[in-house]
Amino acid sequence: MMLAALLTAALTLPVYAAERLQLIEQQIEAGLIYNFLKYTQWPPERAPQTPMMRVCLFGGDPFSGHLQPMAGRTVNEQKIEVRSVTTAADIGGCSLLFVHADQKPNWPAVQKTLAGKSVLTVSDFEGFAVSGGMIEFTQLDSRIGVLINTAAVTAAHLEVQDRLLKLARTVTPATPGR
Amino acid sequence: VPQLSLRRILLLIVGTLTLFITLLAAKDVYGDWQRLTRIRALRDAAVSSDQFFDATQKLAVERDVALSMLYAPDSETIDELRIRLKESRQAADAALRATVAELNQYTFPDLVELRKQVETHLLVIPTLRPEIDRAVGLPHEQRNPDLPDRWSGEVTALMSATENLWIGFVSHFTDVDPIVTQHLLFKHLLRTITDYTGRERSLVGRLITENSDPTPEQIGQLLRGRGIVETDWQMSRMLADQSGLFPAIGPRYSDASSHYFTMRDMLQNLFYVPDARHGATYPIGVDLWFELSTQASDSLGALRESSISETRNYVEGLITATQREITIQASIFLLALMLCAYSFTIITGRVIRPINNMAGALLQATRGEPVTFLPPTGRKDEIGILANVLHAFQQNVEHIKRTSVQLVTSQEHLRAVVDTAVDGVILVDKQGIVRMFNPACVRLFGYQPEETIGKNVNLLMPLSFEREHAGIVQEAAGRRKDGSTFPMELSVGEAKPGGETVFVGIIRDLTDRKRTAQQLFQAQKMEAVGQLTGGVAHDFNNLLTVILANADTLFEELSDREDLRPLAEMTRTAAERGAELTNSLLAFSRRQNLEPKAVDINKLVAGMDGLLRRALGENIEIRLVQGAGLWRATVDPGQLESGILNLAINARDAMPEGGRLTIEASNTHIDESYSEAHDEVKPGQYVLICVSDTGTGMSDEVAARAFEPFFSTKDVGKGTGLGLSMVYGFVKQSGGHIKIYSEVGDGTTFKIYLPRSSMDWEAAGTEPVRKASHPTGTETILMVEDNDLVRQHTEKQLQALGYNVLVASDGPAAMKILERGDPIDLLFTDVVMPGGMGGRQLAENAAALRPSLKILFTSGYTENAVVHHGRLGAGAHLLRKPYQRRELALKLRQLLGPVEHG
Repeated sequence: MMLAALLTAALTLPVYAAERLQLIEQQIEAGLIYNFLKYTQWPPERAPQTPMMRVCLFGGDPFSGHLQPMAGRTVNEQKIEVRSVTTAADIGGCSLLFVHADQKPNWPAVQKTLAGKSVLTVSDFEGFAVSGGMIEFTQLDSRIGVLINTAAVTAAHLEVQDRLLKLARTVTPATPGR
Repeated sequence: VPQLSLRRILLLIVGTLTLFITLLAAKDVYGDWQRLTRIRALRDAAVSSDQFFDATQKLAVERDVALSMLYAPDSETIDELRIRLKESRQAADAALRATVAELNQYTFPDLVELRKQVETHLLVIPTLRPEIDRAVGLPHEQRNPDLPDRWSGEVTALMSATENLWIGFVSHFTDVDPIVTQHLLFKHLLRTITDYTGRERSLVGRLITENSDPTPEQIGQLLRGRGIVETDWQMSRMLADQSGLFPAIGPRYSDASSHYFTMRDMLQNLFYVPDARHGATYPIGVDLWFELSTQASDSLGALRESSISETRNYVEGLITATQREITIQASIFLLALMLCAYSFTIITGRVIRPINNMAGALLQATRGEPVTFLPPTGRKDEIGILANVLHAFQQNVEHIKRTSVQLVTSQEHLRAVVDTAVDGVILVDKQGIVRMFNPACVRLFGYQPEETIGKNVNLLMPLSFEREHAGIVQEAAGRRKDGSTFPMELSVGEAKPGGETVFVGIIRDLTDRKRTAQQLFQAQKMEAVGQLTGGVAHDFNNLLTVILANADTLFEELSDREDLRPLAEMTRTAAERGAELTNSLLAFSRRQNLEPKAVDINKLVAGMDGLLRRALGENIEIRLVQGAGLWRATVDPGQLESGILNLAINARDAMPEGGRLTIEASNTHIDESYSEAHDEVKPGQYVLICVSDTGTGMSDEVAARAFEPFFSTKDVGKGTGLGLSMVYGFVKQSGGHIKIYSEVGDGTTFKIYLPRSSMDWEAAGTEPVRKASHPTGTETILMVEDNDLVRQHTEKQLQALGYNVLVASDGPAAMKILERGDPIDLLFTDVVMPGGMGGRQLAENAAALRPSLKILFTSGYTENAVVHHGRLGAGAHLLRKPYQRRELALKLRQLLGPVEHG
């Protein structure tokens, strides 16, 4: 029954293949965010006041709302909050900051704002990791890949576990972050 | 029947209680101990259960790793996985071995079949492993295409068999604790989730590797698995909540489920929507996929670890709680036992022992020993109150004892007063019933107490007692048992002892007093009459002297006058007769001139013989009895002759038909006791002259007045009425005493006591009456005397001599006593008695009844008069009245023989 309903729904939806693929990628990336949160350790002294994992979307939502179901779930016994930030001032309270690809030009400015703050930065624009970002979604053999800039992570007094490193390929930035 | 003392009852109660407590405690402790054993078994079972889980988990890992290798896209990936496969195989083998070993300790028969299945599948696994190793080394197209499915199916079958074994195993422990059962179920759900996510991972990994679209069957398989997992998540949450597991594992649970649902969302459109990738490459690599799903499994594993440890904590808590419960129960049991023992000790020490002590003290108290019911420290509880009450009781009892002793003493005193009172004491109630009758009353009335008590007092006195006599002292008449009456003084008091009105009468016999008063009155009368007549006679004598002298002168001067001379003669004769009369009066008034001298009475009486015979005539026989060794008396002999003559003439007059006159003289002495009875007589030695006739006698009334002047029973003109008065006056003037004994019809005896001459005193020595000791005896004497006074007097004398005395007032009464059969040695009886039976008759009757009885007569008449008058036979023993105690004593011993000393 369920299968039939799903099949029918899927067949009747006039979705283009590219768009469908885009959607699947967004979903996978949103799922990966959870694992980033799970295997990253924030310094206790810089832990946010509230015991929460705040996932901030800077400059728009590239997940088309697929990140929203994660709100309310927990990771490492902390509740996940998803919110959009538009100003640099809001960034301070974030555990993870996803920088929208459109915000690539603003990245250096944002990066400055994040200086001294333990915020895990994630983005999907090319060159994010090498330009001081920490985790970058990329395409490897037409599959989703993850690049990680461990130096940036360490600089932000964050710690990522091996489990996370297994998901990603480590990149070394052309110029050190900041 | 066993004695149920307080101590035993207490022992019984405490014993029962102890037994009850022990049984209860034993039951509880035993139950808890069993429970503890079961919980320990459960703990071990939970550990075994976790090993099951671990084993199947490990097996699932091996399965997945092996599948990943089979689906690996390149040799690089295969090489990477080779080490993991080896590790997972070793881990799975170890876990399975441990599980099988673990199972060996459980011998539940229903597990045998289940174990066999597990072991069968276990044997297949090692045969597939080399196949996989071989297949991995070959290119994909040369491999057996069934191998992954076969492998997957075999491992899953093994897992299912293990799962079934686990369920069978756990079913043995579900009754121990429902919470633990829920824990186990929760873990079972976790395992199911793990299993199905593992299958999904495997299938998805295959699709990614082959880069093929899932067939509808595969999509159905995925959807079914997802449905099961989602349902299991819901159920597990429910179970976690119900079993109380959630608070402990909550964060881990939340993380694991969040992770799972995130993964699910991630694949939402990739594999569950047909042809989602449109022929393009899947956007996720197989290694990334495996890593992601392994990470999700890690979250699940963390949750599992958490729940395992929580279960362990819970079971340990159960064990601790049960152990604590056992400890508490044992403590309560011990405490209860101690309380039992303590209360037993307390009750014994504080209640039973004091009660026993008090009982002992009470026993002592009843024996009159001094006791304390409680140590002086005192208590304020019930025992203390009891002791106080007992103490108060004892005090009361002692007070009552003292009072009763006083009461008894006082009652004995009163009794003594009543019993020894000379006066009669009588107690009469309102109805006139006699309640008390003292010994004096017995003497007065002749009744014994039992004869009067309960009877009306009218029996004793004709007048109504209480009404007539209350409150006053008066004379009344008492009635004796024999019907005679006596004067008595009766004083009656009213009292209300105990609210009942009673009357107490004090009765005094007035007989003696009346007689004494009578005698005194008589003496005083005689004295007054004497003085009067003396005075008159004296003056009259003077006048007569003048008349006589003048008559003599006239007689001589008138010798020539024959006509007048006889007149003078007549005057002289009349005057002479007047002078005689006055002399008689003077004699009575004891004013005659007496010339007392020592006179031999024998001689004097003998000299009167001729005179008496002439005066009395031939009809009367005269006997003169001379006393042997007779003392001389101090008396005027002429006057004595005149007096005897007077008495003889009186006797003659009393014997008109003739008779016998006896005059006898004897020595006597009047002792104090006789003197007391006749107060006009002084004790001392006397010469007694008895003048007895056998004439008509005189009544008591006549005898009482016989000495009064001018009192005469003779016909007018026959006597002057002065004869006896003259004798009386003369004897009294002479310091003597005269007494009349007379019975009507039997004759009269006059007894004249004349004081012994002082010359004789000198001759006989100057000893006065000596109170010599008289011979005594202890024999029983029946004494018969009609005169109350004499009877009482004689009774006392006999008792004083030591004799046992029975008394009777007349012949018939004496016969009754004799007939009663009391031992009586001697009959002592008056000769002359009223009531038909004289002394002689009585003696004859008595002798007939008791031949050995000694008989002693007594009489106011002289022995000669009585014996020779024919009243008694010759040889009879007679004691003359008045007799003295010595005479009585001697006479009695003469009859009874010498005193037996013994």
